[in-house]
Amino acid sequence: MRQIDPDILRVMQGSTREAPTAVERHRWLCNIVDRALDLPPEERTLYLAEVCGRDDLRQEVDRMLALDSRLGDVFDHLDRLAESHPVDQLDDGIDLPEEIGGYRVLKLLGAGGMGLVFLAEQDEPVQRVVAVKVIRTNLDNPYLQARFDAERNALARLSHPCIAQLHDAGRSEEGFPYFAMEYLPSAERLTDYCAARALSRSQRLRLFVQVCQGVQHAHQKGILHLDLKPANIQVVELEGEARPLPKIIDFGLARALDGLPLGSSTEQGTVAGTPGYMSPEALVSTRDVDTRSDVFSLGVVLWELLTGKHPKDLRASNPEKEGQAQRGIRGDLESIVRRATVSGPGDRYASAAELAADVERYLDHLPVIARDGSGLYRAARFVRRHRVSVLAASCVVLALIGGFVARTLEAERTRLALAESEELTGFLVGLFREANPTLRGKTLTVRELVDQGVLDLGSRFEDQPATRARFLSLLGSIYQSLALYDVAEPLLAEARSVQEQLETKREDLGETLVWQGLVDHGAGRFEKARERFERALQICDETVGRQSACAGEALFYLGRATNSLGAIDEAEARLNEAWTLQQEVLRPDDRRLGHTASALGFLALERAEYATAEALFEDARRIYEASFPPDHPQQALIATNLGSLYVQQDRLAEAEAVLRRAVEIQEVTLGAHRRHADTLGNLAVVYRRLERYDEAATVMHRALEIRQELLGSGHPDVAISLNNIGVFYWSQQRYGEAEKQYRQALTIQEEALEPGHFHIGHTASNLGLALWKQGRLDEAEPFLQRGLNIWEDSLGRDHKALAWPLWGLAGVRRDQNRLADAEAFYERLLLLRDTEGAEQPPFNDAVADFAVLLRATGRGDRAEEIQHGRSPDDHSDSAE
Amino acid sequence: MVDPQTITAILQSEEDTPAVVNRAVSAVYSELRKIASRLLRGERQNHSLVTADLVHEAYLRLFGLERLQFTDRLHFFNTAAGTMRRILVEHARRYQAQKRIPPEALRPLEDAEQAPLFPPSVDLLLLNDVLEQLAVLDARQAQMVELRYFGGLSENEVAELLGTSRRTLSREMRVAKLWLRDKMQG
Repeated sequence: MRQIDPDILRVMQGSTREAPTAVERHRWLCNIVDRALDLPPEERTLYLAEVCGRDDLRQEVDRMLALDSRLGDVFDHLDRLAESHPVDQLDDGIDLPEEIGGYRVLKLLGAGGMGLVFLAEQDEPVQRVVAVKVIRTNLDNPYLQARFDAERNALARLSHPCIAQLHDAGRSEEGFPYFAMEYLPSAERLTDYCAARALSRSQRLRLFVQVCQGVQHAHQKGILHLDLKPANIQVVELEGEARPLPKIIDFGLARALDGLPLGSSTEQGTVAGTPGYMSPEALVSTRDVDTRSDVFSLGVVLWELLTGKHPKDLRASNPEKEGQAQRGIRGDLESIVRRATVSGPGDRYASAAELAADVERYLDHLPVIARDGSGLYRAARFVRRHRVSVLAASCVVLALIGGFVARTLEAERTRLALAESEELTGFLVGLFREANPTLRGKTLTVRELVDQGVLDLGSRFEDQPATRARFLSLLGSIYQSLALYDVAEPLLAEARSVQEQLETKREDLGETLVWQGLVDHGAGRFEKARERFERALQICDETVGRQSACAGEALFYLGRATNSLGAIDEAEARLNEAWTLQQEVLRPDDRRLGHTASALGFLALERAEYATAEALFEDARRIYEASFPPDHPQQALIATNLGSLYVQQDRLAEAEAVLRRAVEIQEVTLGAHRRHADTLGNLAVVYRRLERYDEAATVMHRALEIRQELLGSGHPDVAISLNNIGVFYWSQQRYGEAEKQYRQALTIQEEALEPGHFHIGHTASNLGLALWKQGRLDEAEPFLQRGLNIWEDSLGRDHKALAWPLWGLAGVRRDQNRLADAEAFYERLLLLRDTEGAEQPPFNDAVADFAVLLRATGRGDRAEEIQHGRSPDDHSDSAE
Repeated sequence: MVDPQTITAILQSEEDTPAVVNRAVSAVYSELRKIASRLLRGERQNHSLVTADLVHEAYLRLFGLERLQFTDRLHFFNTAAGTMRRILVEHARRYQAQKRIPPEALRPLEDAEQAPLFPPSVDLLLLNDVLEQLAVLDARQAQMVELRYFGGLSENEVAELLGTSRRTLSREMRVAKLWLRDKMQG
């Protein structure tokens, strides 16, 4: 069995006659060591006994072999250095770039057909080490750029423990596309990992099930991998984790890169996929494949995992025979592999989840579905009988969103037949969520499609009330996010009335309540919203307990609703509770944490606690930057919040920059959306303060239009727009027009808000000021007094904003010739003034007014002092 | 960066016009820089300075006094790797000598900070000695090691330069490294 190297034989034979030369001996030694290294330990000993006649030689061989397993000497170091730079596949050496897309490059990890992978470091928004894959192709064509951007946005939404997280993607300074991915230190490819540790069959299968779950997650997000193979499935042993975790890498890259012009022709194959693992349909064209193509690849991986070999002729030969020939794969497992890898996609498992479920059935010693040859046939028949067209509508929605997702869903039709299954409903919910227009896409078209979905739903599923209710809730939630509250409400109400009856599925009821609450909140019915969220929180408590993401979310919404009601302390308590809870139960970059930080920041902002507000908004921004794509509406939202913070601090240039960016994002992603109106409104304030009145008027009226269209004319947000337009006229001294706007705003607010609401105080003082400026002193006074009272209660007596109503009240008294009263108000106003804000309105005007009054009453020194900060003593000093 | 074919062509060129010389200079420089940066990777301290110095020194030795005529890429890399090795070894010797100098007699700071090129765990002088012994027993193995570790080439590149298969080369390297390690333990 073992063959002795001819060289060794020669030397051995020679050695009996005369001593070999040093060179001969060296060659002999090397050959023996070389061969021994390849032998398993027991054979190695036999072999060495056979060939090493001489003691000193045997000793040297033993020493060298013993060194083989030792680490940490010179060559290890040099090899590590060299391995970090595998030039093998590069056409030339590369200079290590210092930075790629804001990531500081540490070293080259490897090179593949598609490009280079670097280890890199990021400081902002979070400090982490990432793997950056740079694709060596130039995106010089706008179409390709757009495609690439669309795909990377889709990929960025993947988040699953078994998928290496894509953090970011973009184009490097040189125009090369790059992907920044989770770095997996000391990962091993799936098959190597299992082989090296001689994992048992069930250990392997459990790893495989996890892989399927990762794939399923991506499919639910509408993303195909298209290049699943052992090399793209790495196993890591994470600290603190008892079990190894498979991590799928390069998810969706095949699709993201499809069509991009890649360096050389040999690289095309890499992008299209790896032939040995591709489904027959993908071999023909990758354009018409769906989730079942990945199922095929998973089947091949499963085969390889169980047999240690790649089923090269799986399709050509009879897999049944081959399967039986393989150790470790027969019976049910063989049926599973066969079902996953049949050439017709229609006969395969329809999803990775189904494949995983069957493997799990095997592990649980249950009969597997793959054995039941007639099941698929039955399912196919069932589909033909029930074309569930509501889901066809969802196909189209998804077509808008994900491009190829529609095809994926097309394939899922088979599964729709099994609509009673809970899992399927979950799948659809996931897909619809993706279609949610606040995420991306064009609102109008989405609306049309959802309308169609409602029509199609009709009276369907009446025999399955839970499923029907879930669809209704889902459609309602989409209308909710389109701010079409009137349409959403009846759908959600129907869903809820059904869900209230059901003994089970309490969490569905909780979800519907949240949507209903959001509708009420959006429609300005804050008290109603609060009730809904309280009820939802109660359901969370009953089903999953307080220590849950569910409760965190309900508390967050509850906090927002109470805030809108003006119950600021309660709101803050709720939000703080949500914040504490979410920090315990959520990952630190979970976007929901960002939402809560943003809402808390908002509260701080309203209390003029600017430093706190800024810190919280920056927290939220960091979280969002890590968890949303850069052009996501949520980035616009946090930019808007920061913008209003800057406005309040008079940091107008910064405010303009962030708000314009926010408006740009929203124009593309949201269209006529209430948040867009909010941002436009804020931007108008900036323009007005910068005295760019034309721009201010344009954005302001746009904001008002959107608000009236979406919200109806009685909504408090419409009042904000009206108030802002009023301020705009005010600043141009058009007091009559300002008054009109303020009055409309106040009417709305008195209807919709609690009497002591901060916003009412604002509008009332503005109205009072506008009346005063028109000389209607008696009318002005009660509004100014009301504004002052509300603000004193909600903002405290030291807030600088109080200067506005104080100025008006002083002015009214002065003009009424009640000079002592006027003076008292002016003096109080002066106490609010600090050196920094002395030149800001209304302090500058108020001080000027007061100085006139003082001089007119013969107190020029006091006038000088309040205007120039000089006391009479200073004055006399400087005169000497 | 320079295409390997180009560098061979340039190196083989008989022409001695300023243009060709310039191209040759930049091509060789960039090759040397690659080699140096691979060798010195991981040496964060004064990395660029050291790399630049090493390249510069190597270039001067290769092209400074008399123009070397390289027959082909292998010749160039052999020479470059040998040059690098000598520079590094000299550096290490200087560093060792320096260590024996009393602290107050240390040379100016910027010089002192340059050493060591290889991390402390790598005894470069010992490696150099052992490599010389190996060259006596098996010149080809020594050449492989030199090209790989002093020429900064990958195993694939070494295999290509030496006209052998990657597999053969890996096996040879594997044994050669064990032999060297064994002797370095010595």
